[in-house]
Amino acid sequence: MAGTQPLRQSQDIFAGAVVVAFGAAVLAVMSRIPTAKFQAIGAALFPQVCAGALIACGLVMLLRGFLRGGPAVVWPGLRGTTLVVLSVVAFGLTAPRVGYALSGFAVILISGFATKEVKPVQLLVFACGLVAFCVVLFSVILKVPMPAILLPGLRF
Amino acid sequence: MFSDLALGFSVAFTAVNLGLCLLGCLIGTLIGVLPGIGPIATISILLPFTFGISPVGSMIMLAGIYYGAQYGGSTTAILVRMPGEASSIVTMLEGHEMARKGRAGSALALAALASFLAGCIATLVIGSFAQPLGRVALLLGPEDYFALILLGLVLSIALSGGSILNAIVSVLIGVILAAVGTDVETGVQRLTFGQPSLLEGIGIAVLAMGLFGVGEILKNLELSDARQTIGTAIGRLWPNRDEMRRSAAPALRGTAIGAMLGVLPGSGTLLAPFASYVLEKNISRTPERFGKGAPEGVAGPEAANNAAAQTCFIPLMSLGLPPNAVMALMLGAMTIHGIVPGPQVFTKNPDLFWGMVVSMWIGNVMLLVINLPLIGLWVSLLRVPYRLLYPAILLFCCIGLYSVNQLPADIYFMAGFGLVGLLFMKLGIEATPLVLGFVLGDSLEANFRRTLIMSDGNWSAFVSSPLAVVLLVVAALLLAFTVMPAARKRRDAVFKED
Repeated sequence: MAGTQPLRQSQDIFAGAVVVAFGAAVLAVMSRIPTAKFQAIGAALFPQVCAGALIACGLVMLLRGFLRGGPAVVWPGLRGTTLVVLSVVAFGLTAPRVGYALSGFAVILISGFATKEVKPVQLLVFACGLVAFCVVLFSVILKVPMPAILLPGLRF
Repeated sequence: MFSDLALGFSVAFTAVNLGLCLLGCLIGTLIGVLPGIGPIATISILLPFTFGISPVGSMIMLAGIYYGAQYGGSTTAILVRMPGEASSIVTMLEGHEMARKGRAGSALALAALASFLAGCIATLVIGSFAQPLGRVALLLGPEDYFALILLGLVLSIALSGGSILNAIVSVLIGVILAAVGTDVETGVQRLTFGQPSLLEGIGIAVLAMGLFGVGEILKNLELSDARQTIGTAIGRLWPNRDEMRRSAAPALRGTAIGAMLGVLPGSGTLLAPFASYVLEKNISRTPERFGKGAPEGVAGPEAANNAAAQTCFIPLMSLGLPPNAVMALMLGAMTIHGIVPGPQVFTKNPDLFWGMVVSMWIGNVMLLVINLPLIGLWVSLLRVPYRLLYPAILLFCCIGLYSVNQLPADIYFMAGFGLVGLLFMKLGIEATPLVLGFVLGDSLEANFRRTLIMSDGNWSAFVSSPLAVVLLVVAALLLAFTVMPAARKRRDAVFKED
C-alpha cells in the first residue's frame, strides 16, 4: 500500500507533525523555568537538549513523508477505542465512591461491548465470577487496604 | 562463588520464596501461552502487588514470570502455530511442523528440555560474570556512564525492528517523560502543569500499564479474533533417541549464542532464536529437512531464547542498565523497594542477587515439572476467547493500579497512555524504546549534569576520558552503520515477522 495513498495520509507526515509539536511544547514550557545566573547547568537544560533533538527527528520524518509517501495512517475504529477508554475512566470516577468491586463490574460490562463479538449473557456471568474472584483475592486473601464495596450502610 | 551460591540457596529455599518462584513461573507460563498478553503487560499489572512482599521475594517472582513466559510462548507456537510471545516465532517454524507429523509431544518436550539446559548454563554464566563486571563499573566516571547509557540506548535502537528514526523518537520521548516532576537537584517543577499527581513524576507502573496493558488491548481490538483451534493430538510426550541425539549440540550452541546476545541492549531475546536457527540451518548436513519439522530447529532456538532471557539480567544487576523493556520494569520495581541496581548490589544486597540467581535455577526445574504434565491445562486455556480475556486484563489493570495510591488520577493517566500507545502504533512508532528511555532517562540526565557541573559547563568534558571517547565513537559508528542501506536490508530480514 506504500506510495499509493494521497500524501496527507502518510504515517510519516502525521508522526513528524506530532513529534515536532510535542518537542516545541516541551521547549516552550521549559523556557519558563527560571535559570540562576551563576548556574550554567539548570534544571531545564537537559530536557531542552532532548526536545531539540526530537524536533530535528520530527523534521526529518516530515521530509521523509513528503519525499517518499510511505504507508498511510489507518485510523482506529471508534467503538472499540471509546468503550475501552470510557470503561477505565468510569472506574477512576466511581471507585472512590462505590468501591472497586462495583466499579470493576462496570469496567467489564462497558469494555466487553468494545468488540462486535460480544455475548451479553456470557459477559454478565463472566463479570460476576471475575469480580467475586477479585474480591476474594484482594480483600480476603491479600488483605489490600482498599474498600471493595462502599454503599450506604454497607462497607466491605 | 560457591559461598555466594550457598547464600543464594539459603535465601531461595525458604518456603515463601519457593512459593513465590512457583507462583511467578505459573503466571509466566499462563500469560506466555495466551497470545495477546505478554510479560511486559503482566509484570506492570503485578508490580503494585509486589510492594507488600520482601524485595528478594518480589524479584524472584517477577523474574519467574519473565522466563516462565518464554517457556509458555513455545507451547502455543508448537500447538497452534501462533507465537504466544514474539520470541517464539522461530519455534513455530519447526515445532508446528513436528506437531503436524504427530510429534507435538516430543516437540514440546524438546523445547522444555533445551530451555532447561540453557537455563542451567545461563544461571552459571550470571553467577560468574555479573560480579566482575560490577567491579569494573565502580571505576567509571560520570562521563563514562553517560557514554555507556547512550551506547546502550543506541544499541537498543539499532536492534529494534522498524524505522530507526522512529525508534530514536520513541527513546527521546521516554527520556523527556522521565524529566517530569520535581527536579531533585534544584527543586524546580518540570512539566507538571500544576498537577499534584505529577509532582513525583510519572510512575513506571502507570506508564507501562497504559502503554502495554490498555494500549495493547486497543491495538488488538483493531485486529479480529481469529484464533485457530487445536486439531493435532499431542502424541507421545518424549523425544525418541534420534531426536535427542540431533538436538543436543544445537541446544548447546543455542545456549552460547543466546547467552551472548542476551547481554546486549535491545531485542536480545528476539534476536537470539533467529541467530540460532540460521546457524543450525547453515551448518546442517541436511538443510533440506528444515521447514519440515527438524528437531534441531526447535532445540537450538528454544535454548537461545531462554539463555538470553536470563543473561539479560547481567547488565541490569551489575551496571544498573536494563537491556530491554522487561528489565526496565524490574529496575523500576527494585527502585520502589529502595534497591539501587549496580555494582553496589553485590556488597549491599548480596542476598538479593544470589537469591535471585539460585531461584532462576530452581525456577527452571519447576518449569520443566509444571510444563510437561500440565500441558493439557495450558491447552484448554487457549480456548478462552479474547472477547472475555481483554475485559479481565483491563479489570486487573484498574484494580492493580488503584490499589497503589487509591488515586483516580493514576487511572486517568493510564487511560491516556493507552491512547498514546494506540497513537504510536498508528504512526508506526514502537513503544518499547520509550520505556527504556524513560527508565534510563534519570541516570542519563544525572550523569549529563554531573559531567557538565564538574567541568564548569565545558562541553568537552564528555570526551575527557578515553573510555568515554571509545564508547561514543562505537555508538556513532553503530548508528551510522544501521542507517546504511545494506545493513538495513539485513536487519529488516531478521525482523520480518510473519
